[in-house]
Amino acid sequence: MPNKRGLLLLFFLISNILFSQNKDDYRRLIDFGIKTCKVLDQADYCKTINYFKNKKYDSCYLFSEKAITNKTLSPETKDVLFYMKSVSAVKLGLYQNALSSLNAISKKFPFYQLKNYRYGMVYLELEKYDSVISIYNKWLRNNPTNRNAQEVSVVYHNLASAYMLKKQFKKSEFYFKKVINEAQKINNTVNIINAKSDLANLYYEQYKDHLAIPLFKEVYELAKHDSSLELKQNTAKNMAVVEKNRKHYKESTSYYEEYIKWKDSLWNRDKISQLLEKDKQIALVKKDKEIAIQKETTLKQKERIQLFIIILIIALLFLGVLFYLYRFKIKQNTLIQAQKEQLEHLNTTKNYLLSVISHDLRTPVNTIKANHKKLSVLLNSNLNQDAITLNKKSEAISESTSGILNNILNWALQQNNQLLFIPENHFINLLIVSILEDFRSIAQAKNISISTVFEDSDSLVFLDKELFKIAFRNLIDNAIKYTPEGGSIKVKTAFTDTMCILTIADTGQGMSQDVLNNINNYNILTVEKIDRSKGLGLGLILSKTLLIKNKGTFEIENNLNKGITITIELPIKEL
Amino acid sequence: MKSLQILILEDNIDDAQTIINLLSKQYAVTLVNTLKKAKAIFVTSKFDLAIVDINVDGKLNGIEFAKHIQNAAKPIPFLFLTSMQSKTVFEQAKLTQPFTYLLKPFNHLELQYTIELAVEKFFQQENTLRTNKTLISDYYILVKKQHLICKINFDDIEYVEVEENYCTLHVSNNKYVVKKSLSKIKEILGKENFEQTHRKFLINFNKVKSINLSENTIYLNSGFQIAISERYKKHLTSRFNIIK
Repeated sequence: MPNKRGLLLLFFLISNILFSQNKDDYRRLIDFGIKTCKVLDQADYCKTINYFKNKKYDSCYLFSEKAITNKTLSPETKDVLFYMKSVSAVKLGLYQNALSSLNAISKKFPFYQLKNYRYGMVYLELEKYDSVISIYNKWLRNNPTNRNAQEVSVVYHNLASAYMLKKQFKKSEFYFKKVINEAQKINNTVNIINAKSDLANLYYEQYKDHLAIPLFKEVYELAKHDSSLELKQNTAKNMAVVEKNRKHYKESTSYYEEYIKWKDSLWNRDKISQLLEKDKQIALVKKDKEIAIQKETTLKQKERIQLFIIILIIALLFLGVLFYLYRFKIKQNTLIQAQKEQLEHLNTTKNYLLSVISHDLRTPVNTIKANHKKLSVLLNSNLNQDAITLNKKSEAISESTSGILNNILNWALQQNNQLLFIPENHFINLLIVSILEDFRSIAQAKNISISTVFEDSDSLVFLDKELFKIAFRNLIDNAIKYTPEGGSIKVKTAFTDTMCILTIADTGQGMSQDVLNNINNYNILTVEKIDRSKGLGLGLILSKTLLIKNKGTFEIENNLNKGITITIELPIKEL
Repeated sequence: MKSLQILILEDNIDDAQTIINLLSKQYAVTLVNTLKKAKAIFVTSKFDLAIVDINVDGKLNGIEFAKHIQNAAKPIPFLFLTSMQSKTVFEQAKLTQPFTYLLKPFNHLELQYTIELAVEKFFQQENTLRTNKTLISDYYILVKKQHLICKINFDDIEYVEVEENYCTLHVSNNKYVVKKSLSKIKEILGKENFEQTHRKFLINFNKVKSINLSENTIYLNSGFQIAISERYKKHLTSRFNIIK
C-alpha cells in the first residue's frame, strides 16, 4: 500500500524539524570560532563564523567553501569550517555535500558529538539506514549523561525511523516507545502525539491493526484538545485513511470532512495571517510613502524658509546700506550747513570787527595823532602847562583805545574758540579788589565812589581767572563811563549753596528797554543780534559771553530810580 | 627772616621794569633776559619762585625754561606771563604742571594773587597764602605779614611761644603769628632740633647758649631767656645726656 505509507510518514519529517541544537556544544563551537577569528584575522573565516552565528546559511556555505581553500589555516579551524559547511549544506538540502564535509573533519575535532549527531541526520536523509543506526548508537554510547531531552528524543526517533525503514520493526518499536517515554517525561503533548502517531504508523505498517487503530484513535482524541491545527488535520486524515482501509466509509467520510475542515481553517488561518501580513505591508508601504511625502514637504518648506530668510537678510542689508548712505548724506549736508553757518558767522564777525576798528579805533587814534602835532607846537612855544593838559587827554584816550583793542582781540579769539579756559577755585573777592584797584584813580577823577560788600570773604568760586577779569573789568569800565560825576558804584557778593551772586549797581543813565531785551534774551550774543546804532558796545557782549563760558548767568535790570544793576551768578563748584 | 628769592625771565624792558617796581621793595629779585642766562643762574643761585614770560626772543623760550625748572633736581614754583590769552600759545605751556599764568597788563594785587596761587599749587596746599594761612614746606614755613610773603627757615626759629591756638615764631628780631596749635607746630618742626621746655615754650636747641637748671632758665644766643617748667625739666636733662 504505497499510498497509505507515504501518507503516514508525514510525522517523520515533522520530528526532524523539531530537532534542536545541542546547545552547550553549539555555543562553545561558536565561541571557539569567534576566538580563533580574532587571533587569525582571516576575513573569509570570520565571515563564515558570523554568517553561521546569524543563521545565514547561504552565505555561510559560500564563505566556508572559500575559506577552506586557504592553506595557512590550522587543522582545528579547518574542522570548524567543515562542520559549518556541513550544517549549511543540510539546510540547503545538499546532503551528499554535507556528508563529504563531515568526512573531511579530522578525528581531533573536539565537538565530535555535534559531528556524530549531524552524521545521523545526513545518513537518514540519504537513506543510508545502517550508517544512521551505527552513528546514533555511537552517539548514545558517547553521550550517556548531560543529554538534552529533546535531542535524545530526536535521536531515538531517527533511530526508530531507520529501523522501520529497514523493516526491523521490533527495534523500531523499541525506540519509538523510548520516544514516547521521553515525551511523557517532559509532558510535551505535541511530542507525545507525534511519537504515538509514529508508533501507530509502525503497527499499521505491520498490519497489526488491533494495536494501531486504538493508538490512532487516542492520538486523534489527544489532538482534538490540542490547539495545533496541523496536528488535528493530520490525525483526522490518518483516521480517515484508517477507516477507509477498514471499509468504514461512513466514518472515513466524516473524518475526511473533519480533515478538510481543519485543512480549510488551517488554510484560512494562514490566509488570514497572510492577508494581515499583506495589509500590514501595504499599510507600512503607505505609511512609508506618507513619511516620504511628509519629509519631502518639510524639506521643501525648510528650503522655502531658508530662501525667505536669505531674501530677508539681503533686503535688510540693502536697507542698512541705504540707511547708512542716507545718514552719510545727511551728515555731510549738516556738516556743510554747519560750516556754511560758521563761515557766515565768521564773516559777520569780521565785518563787525572791521566796523569797530573803523569807528571806535580810527577816531581816537586820529585824535591822538592830532594831539601829538598840537603837543609839538605847544612844546615849541614853551606852553608847558597846556602841553601837560593835552598830554593827559591823550593818555586817557590811549587808555580807552587800548581797552577797545584788547576787547577786539579777545572777542576774535573767543569767536574762533581760541581763548584759553582753565577754571579753578578762586577767591572772587580778591579778584574783584585787585581789578577795582586799577579803576581807583579814574573813579576819583570823576568823583565816583566804588564800594564793595563781600558776604563771605573765604568763599571760593569755580571760574577762569583771566576771563572773569576781562568781563568784570569791562563792566566796571562801562559803569564808570555811564555814571555821571558824583555817582556811586556798588559791588556786592552773596552766596547760595551752589552759586555766587555778584551784583554791580550804578547810578548811571540806565538803558532803554530795547537794549535790555536785546542783551537779556540771548544766551549767546552774536554780532548779528546787536544793533550798533543803539550804543551797545563790544565790551558788554564780550562780558556776557565770557561769563556764560564760565557757566554763569548774566542779567541787567534798570534800577527804580537811577542806573542799572547787573546780576551775575557763578557756580561755586565745578558743574 | 629771609625775603623770597625771585627769578624773572623777561626780555621786554618796560614789562621787566614794571615787575621789578612791583616786587623789589619786598623781595630779592633777579632779572635775566635770555633763556641761556636763566638756565645758568638757576644752577648757581637758589630761588624760591620764577616768573617767566612765555615769549622770550620771539620764541616760546619761557616754556622751555619752565620745563627746565620742572625737570630740575629741586624744582621751584613758577608762573607764566603773557600778553595774549591764546590757546595756541598755551598748548605747550599747559603741559608744564602746575600751570599758573597771568595776563599783562596787571597791577600789584593781581601779581600778588597769582604768585600766591602758583606757590600754593606747587606745594599742593591750596587756599593757604591767599587767605593769610600758613604754607608749610619741608624746611620752611611761608606766612603772610601784611601783603608780604615771608619765608621762615626752621633753622632760623629761636623759639616758639604758644598762646591758645596761635603760635608766635621768634626769628631774630621778628615775630610771626601762625594759627596753629602747639601739637601741630611740634609736628611740623620735628623733634630733632626742637624741644618743649614749658607749657608755652618750644625752643630750637641749636640756638641755646646755656641752661641754668637752678634758675630754671635757658639762655639763647640772641639773649632771650626762656623758662623751664618742672614738668619738662627731666626730659630736657635726659636729652642733654644724650648730646654729651
